[in-house]
Amino acid sequence: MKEKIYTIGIDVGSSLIKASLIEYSANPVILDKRTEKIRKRNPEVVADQVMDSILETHNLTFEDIAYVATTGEGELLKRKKGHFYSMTTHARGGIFMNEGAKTVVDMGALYVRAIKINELGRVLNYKMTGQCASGSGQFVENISKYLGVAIEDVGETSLKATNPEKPSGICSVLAETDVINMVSRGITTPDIIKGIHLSIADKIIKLLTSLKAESPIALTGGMAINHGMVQAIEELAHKANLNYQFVTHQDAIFAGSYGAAIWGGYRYLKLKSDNAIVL
Amino acid sequence: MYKVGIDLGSSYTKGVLVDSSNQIIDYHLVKTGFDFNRSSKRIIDKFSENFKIDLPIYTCGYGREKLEVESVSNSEIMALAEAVYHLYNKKCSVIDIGGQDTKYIKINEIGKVDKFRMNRKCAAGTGSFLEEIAFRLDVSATEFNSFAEQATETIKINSFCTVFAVSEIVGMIKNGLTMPNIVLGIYNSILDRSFELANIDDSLILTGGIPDYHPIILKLIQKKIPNAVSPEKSQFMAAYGSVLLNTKRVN
Repeated sequence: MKEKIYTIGIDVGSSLIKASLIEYSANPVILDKRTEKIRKRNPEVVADQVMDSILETHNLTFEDIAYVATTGEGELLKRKKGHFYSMTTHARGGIFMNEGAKTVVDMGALYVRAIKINELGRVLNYKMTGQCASGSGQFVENISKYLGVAIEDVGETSLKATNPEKPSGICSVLAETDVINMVSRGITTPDIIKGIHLSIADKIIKLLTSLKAESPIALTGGMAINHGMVQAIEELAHKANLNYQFVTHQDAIFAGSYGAAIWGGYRYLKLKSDNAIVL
Repeated sequence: MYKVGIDLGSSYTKGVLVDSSNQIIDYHLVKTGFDFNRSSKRIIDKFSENFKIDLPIYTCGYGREKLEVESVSNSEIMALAEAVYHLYNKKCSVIDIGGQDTKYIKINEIGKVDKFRMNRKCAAGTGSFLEEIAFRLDVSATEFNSFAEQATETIKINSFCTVFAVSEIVGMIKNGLTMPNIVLGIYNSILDRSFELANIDDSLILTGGIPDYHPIILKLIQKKIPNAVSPEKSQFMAAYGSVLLNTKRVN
């Protein structure tokens, strides 16, 4: 019987750790997936705990895992075997969840990356936001906090907008005052949130057009499960006469983690076959 | 009879009481909050306790057109230039570091605005930058000044964006860098943003809320521009200027 190859992918983000256990083959199978908030703790400790709890659930020991791969800010984890750049893991995870995708847009807490990929999930070209948090998930999170809307409800709230009001600037920090102003002018919460979504979508569409993105476009990262965000992107693409088809997946937040685990399995087999030749 | 000038800023509402010889008699500052009428009424009420106030009120700033009380509104740039020229009476450059924007104004020999630039799309280089970082680190922004006084070396904050700067600073603290050195880096970042606005010469005058509460910023500027000055109560300059603009016009 062929030996089973288990790999773990750990994606350390700015506020959340995403971890998954997969059985690696040509058709990888997801056995487990978890998220854990870092909350001012040491990310390494949190990642270790998550990994241990996954192993326990599946009656596995650390030695049973062929490859522990990290991505994101996970470079410092001591128990990893290898680290992959976010760009490659999100590309791989994006195409794994959305077969046939030609572009992946990772919408994370701090950055948005638009990545053009080939059919194997390899990165051809990419564009990302730098310098400024205006297009990031953190922006949405801050605003939802001011408005007292739970982050899980932001998407649904946005869908109820009738007359969205965009913030006058793009700065996440200054938007706070802008939002206070909107509230005092009687703008409804859905309209404010939709406005924020549109302002982020605006940035994403600009990234996509400058990348000359090809459709279908897979949306990944924490914001991809926010229906309001996805709808805002679709609306703006339509308005700009861009014939983009957007796809997303309920596990979109795990794109980096899945991608890392899959690349880990790939590298494990490659190392094994290289060693075989040497021996 | 006394005149009142009010500068309705995005973070704070600043009021000055001016006598008939154009001298400032009293200052009052309140948080703007969400209602410009409320914040300016609090200022007018405070001054009315002891003085008889002339209407109209002279206003400038972000919320100047929203008042219910009888008022004359002015551009805050014109007002600021007027006050600075009134005090210094010379050709000069002004940098005004406020809560949400940083302005650069060039005033010519006869007190007219020659050039004007501002940063309004981003919190970097403004008071919001300081406030946001102070809030995240759970220290009061006013403590920053004494921190920076104890700095032994300068650390460069690489992030432009306030949100990213906060993450960078949290990482610095984790890596054992000391607060005084980090805070000095924060102040230098604000200065870098200001100096990006224009080529600033010897005649620099610094105004706005930041130099009032963070006098170290003037000291840091003086390392580059020894003759730079900042008027006392520089936060109230625009409010003062809006009174001056109108009284001078009448005369």
